[in-house]
Amino acid sequence: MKRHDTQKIHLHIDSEEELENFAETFCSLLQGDEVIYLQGPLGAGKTTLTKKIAHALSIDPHQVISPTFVLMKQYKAALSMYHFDLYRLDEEKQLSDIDFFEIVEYPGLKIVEWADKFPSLKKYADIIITLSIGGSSQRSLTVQRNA
Amino acid sequence: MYIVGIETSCDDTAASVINEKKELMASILSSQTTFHAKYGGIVPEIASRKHLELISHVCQEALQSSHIGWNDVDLICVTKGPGLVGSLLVGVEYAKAASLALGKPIKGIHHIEGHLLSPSLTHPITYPYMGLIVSGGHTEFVHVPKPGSYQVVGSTVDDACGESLDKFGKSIGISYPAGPIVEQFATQGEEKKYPFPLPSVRNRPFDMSFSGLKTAAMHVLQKLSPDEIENEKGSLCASYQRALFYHITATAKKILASYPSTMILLSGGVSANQTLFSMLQQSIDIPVLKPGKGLSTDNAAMIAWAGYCRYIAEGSDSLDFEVQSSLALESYAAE
Amino acid sequence: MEILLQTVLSTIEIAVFQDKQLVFRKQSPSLQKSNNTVVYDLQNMLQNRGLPLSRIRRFWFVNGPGYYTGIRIGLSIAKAFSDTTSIPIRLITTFHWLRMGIPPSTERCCIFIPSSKKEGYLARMHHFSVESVQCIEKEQMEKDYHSNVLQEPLFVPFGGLDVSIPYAPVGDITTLPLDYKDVITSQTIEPEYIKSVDDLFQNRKECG
Repeated sequence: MKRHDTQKIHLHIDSEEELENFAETFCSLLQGDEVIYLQGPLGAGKTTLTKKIAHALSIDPHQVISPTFVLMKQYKAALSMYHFDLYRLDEEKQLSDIDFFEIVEYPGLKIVEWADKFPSLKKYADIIITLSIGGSSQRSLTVQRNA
Repeated sequence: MYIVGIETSCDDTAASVINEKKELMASILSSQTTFHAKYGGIVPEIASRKHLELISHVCQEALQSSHIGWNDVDLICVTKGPGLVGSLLVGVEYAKAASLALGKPIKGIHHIEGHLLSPSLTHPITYPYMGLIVSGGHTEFVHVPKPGSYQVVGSTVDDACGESLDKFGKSIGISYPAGPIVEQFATQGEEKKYPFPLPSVRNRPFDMSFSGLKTAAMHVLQKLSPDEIENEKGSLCASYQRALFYHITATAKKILASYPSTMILLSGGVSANQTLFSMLQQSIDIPVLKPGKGLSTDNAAMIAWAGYCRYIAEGSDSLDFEVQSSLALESYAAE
Repeated sequence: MEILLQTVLSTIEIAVFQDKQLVFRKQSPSLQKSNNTVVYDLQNMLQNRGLPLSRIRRFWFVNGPGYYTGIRIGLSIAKAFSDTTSIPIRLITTFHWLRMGIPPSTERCCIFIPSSKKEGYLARMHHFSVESVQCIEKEQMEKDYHSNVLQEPLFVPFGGLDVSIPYAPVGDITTLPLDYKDVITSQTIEPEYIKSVDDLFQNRKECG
């Protein structure tokens, strides 16, 4: 019997409200310690989705801004949320400099944008969400568990 | 009285010395060509590791340039947040240990407060004033009715404006740091050629959103060939900049109507952009001030100055203050 | 009086030695190092004993392997003390520090230090000499332990592994002879440390 290593779910999101609903449902299925990679081109909505996830965790979504410059931001609510953005990193060794390998072990949700820049990081992900742009507020999402 | 400032919140390792008369005796940054010509390294460097390698050297340079030693130092000030935790820790632990060893007071300072107060190092200021911080990592309006009292009245809900300029620059082939180069190209182009949209934030008239601008720019660029992008660089940059700065200026006008202020104090890396400065000056009736040379981007002189002001008002901090990657300005001020 | 600061493990320590004997030790759990209070605790300890810092004859810092954040904390403090006082600073690896808690009669042993959930560093030691260090996946190490591949007794700090592996809780011993001849020392803080962190990173690359 052929076993699938990963199960994928495809979704089409037509509005911000739908994205919010997705985030709420998605969060309710989490245990709270997952490492989640968000993949997709510039403008695909990775930070927007992170805001929706934050909102579902009772973190003020307006406080969640792009961590491109600061590389990692931490938020505390009932659950901690760590939001990484590896856009500015050029080399793998810089991951140690931002304590990536330590923080992925901390309790709480770890959301990482641009992890796909470094193929060796794949093994640390629990869930990978790939976003692509359809129309102006349309997005396609592919959600998969990492084997 | 000699005050040392240490700032390691993001990429740059910085140390400075000022005195109580606001005289800047030294401001050293690891990204300065003179510094890394002496100590090596590549600019810019993303690395808490680099902070550890350089902290001793930047502090030593700052003291030497000021012709003083550690025993002459009266107060140590250090950024405790917001920023990257691993980076902040290097500065904070170094500063705490120095404070313990020398028996001197210490102040843990908010990075944004440093920016907010930096123009006052070189210019007289009057209250109430509106601080506008525009950098790679921050874009916010902070109302300051009196010393030490801060209210964040408007900010970006997604990208910071410096980041927006950088990402746009990168997508048309300009390398980091793209901001100043985008500004240069913009002078050669037509700013109305590409009408990029200016989204507002639902129910939040004083907040700004720049990620829609980025997406719109990507759409436009997808329809152009590489040659066209090359030829149109000037107009693309001019148009993008105009949309970005118009958004900020329009928000400034709205905010000032509700928060009367005697002046706007501009700071952060993007405050060096002449187009933004002129646009603000032209749209607003009150004076627009920006910090002296070398004090717009992240630096330790602003931390030393903010630390000195706080020390006079509150005395020393105890050595158990924490480093925080996200530190709200209002809760910091209320401590 | 000599003081040692260890900030690189999930429990951080301040240890005070008088005439090579351990006279005081404070251990604090510290996984998320951003809220560490090492300098504050050190200040309190000195104040409670009526000891000015200048009375300290030497400072020891454990410089790795371990958590990078912790290494940075320790060495930032070391650099500040070095820059602002004339108290000599000595560096000691985590392996050597932990070896001090193992009875001297143990000729050969293995010490494993976790560096993340999945990996760690395994050192084989002959008395105080580190014969080899390898980066190894925890799973592999547990397999080796259970199938007696290791041969020497295994020690891990503060329960850094699954409870399925019985371990000697290193660091419980209250009297530690600090024999200067047998530990690694460094006159200057920077060059020694940089080399070791780069080496550690090289090991990590080989690991996975």
